[in-house]
Amino acid sequence: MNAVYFHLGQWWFLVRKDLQREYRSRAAWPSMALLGLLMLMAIEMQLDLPAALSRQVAGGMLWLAIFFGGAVPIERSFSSEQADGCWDALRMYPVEGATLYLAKFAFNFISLAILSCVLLPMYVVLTDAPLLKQWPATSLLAMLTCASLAAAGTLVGAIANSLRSRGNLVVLLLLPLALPVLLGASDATASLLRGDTGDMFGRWLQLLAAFSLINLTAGVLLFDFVLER
Amino acid sequence: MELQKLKCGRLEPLGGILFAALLAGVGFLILRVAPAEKTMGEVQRIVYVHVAVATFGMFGMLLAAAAGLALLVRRDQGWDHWGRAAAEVGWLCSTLTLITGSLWAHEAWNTWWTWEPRLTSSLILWTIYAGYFLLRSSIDNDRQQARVCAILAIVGALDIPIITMATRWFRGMHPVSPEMDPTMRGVLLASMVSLTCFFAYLLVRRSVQLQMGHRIRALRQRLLFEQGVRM
Repeated sequence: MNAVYFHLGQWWFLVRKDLQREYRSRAAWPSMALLGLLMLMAIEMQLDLPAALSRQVAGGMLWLAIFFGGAVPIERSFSSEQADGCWDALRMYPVEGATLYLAKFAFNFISLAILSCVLLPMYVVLTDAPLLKQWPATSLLAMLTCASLAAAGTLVGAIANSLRSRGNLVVLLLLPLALPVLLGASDATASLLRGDTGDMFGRWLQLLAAFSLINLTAGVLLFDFVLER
Repeated sequence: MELQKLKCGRLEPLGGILFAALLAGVGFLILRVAPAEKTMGEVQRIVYVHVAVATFGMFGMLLAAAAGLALLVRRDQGWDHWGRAAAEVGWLCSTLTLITGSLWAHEAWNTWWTWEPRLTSSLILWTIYAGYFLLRSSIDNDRQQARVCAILAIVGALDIPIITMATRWFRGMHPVSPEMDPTMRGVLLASMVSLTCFFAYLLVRRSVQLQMGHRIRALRQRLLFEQGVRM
């Protein structure tokens, strides 16, 4: 039991460190929000479809904007550690790879959740979609999507961090792996907009939960290998 | 001694001839023995190749992941050659799946491409392979390349069931186990078995080639080092 508290303490210390760093530097979150907003606006402007048709396709656009905006903090959570040898110092601490992975996952999950909180109301304003009326189902969908993207993104971000052209690689490596999540989230949004929160919506949530669990488990088991040099 | 190890036996040309004959035999079965399908006509013969390449396309990623797991657990660099060879043959099959599927779709559905579940899942698999090779080309260090690519292959293989589920839940029009004439079924089985053997042969050959390349590089480095010491 003491070991669990010990690891939890380490985990919380690392999450707090990342949150404090972001609070002080404000390096990732403003860029993330701006990129997400610009993408959403650009897509909506270009589409300019009738309301009924827009609701069918715009769900995918929302999650695509969240994905591209979310890639900023995912990449930043590792690249910022490179300054002044922070990453080497962090690896010298007696922290297990799994704890480090879960801490980075938590930071990325919080970042993506904040981005969803910014973009969802914006999406509702732009498309007049009645998503906020069904806020419990919408929140659950957003949380599961953010968890799925953060679970795969944290592992890919760590891989890309050790390479020379990491800036482009995060998106290039993560997008193929995250496509089922984006497909699931956009279809679940379309179900919500049709007012269908039954069987099909539940299936998509199950898929997102399975994706999060599989990638979280893979991250916990494989992160030590990613850290090796 | 090292040069002796590089020899891979005198049976290699025989293997090549055997597989060339096997593929010619399968080609004969597909073009001459299998009857033409009633509605689709001659273009339906693509299916005999398409099913085999689609199966091995998915199998290649699973093999690359298995080799990656063995590399990480056993710390044996030799598994990287198997993983890379499996990914390369898998990517080749995945590309052939998209091409043959597209050719078939143009005749059957009157379009080269549609966002149909199986087509979508095949394309996602192809992009995962592309990411794997992109990652390989970004790393110079052999050990780091092997370790990082092993991790990506494992994550890619773990996502295959999810990709399959995500795309199957769309309403698709791709045929699944259609009714077939017994001769057609026999030709399909023969084509699947022989093409699978051929891809397995390619995999072994490519893996041996990668191992030989690795040994030649090591020998060259040793030779350069010894020359430097003498000078």
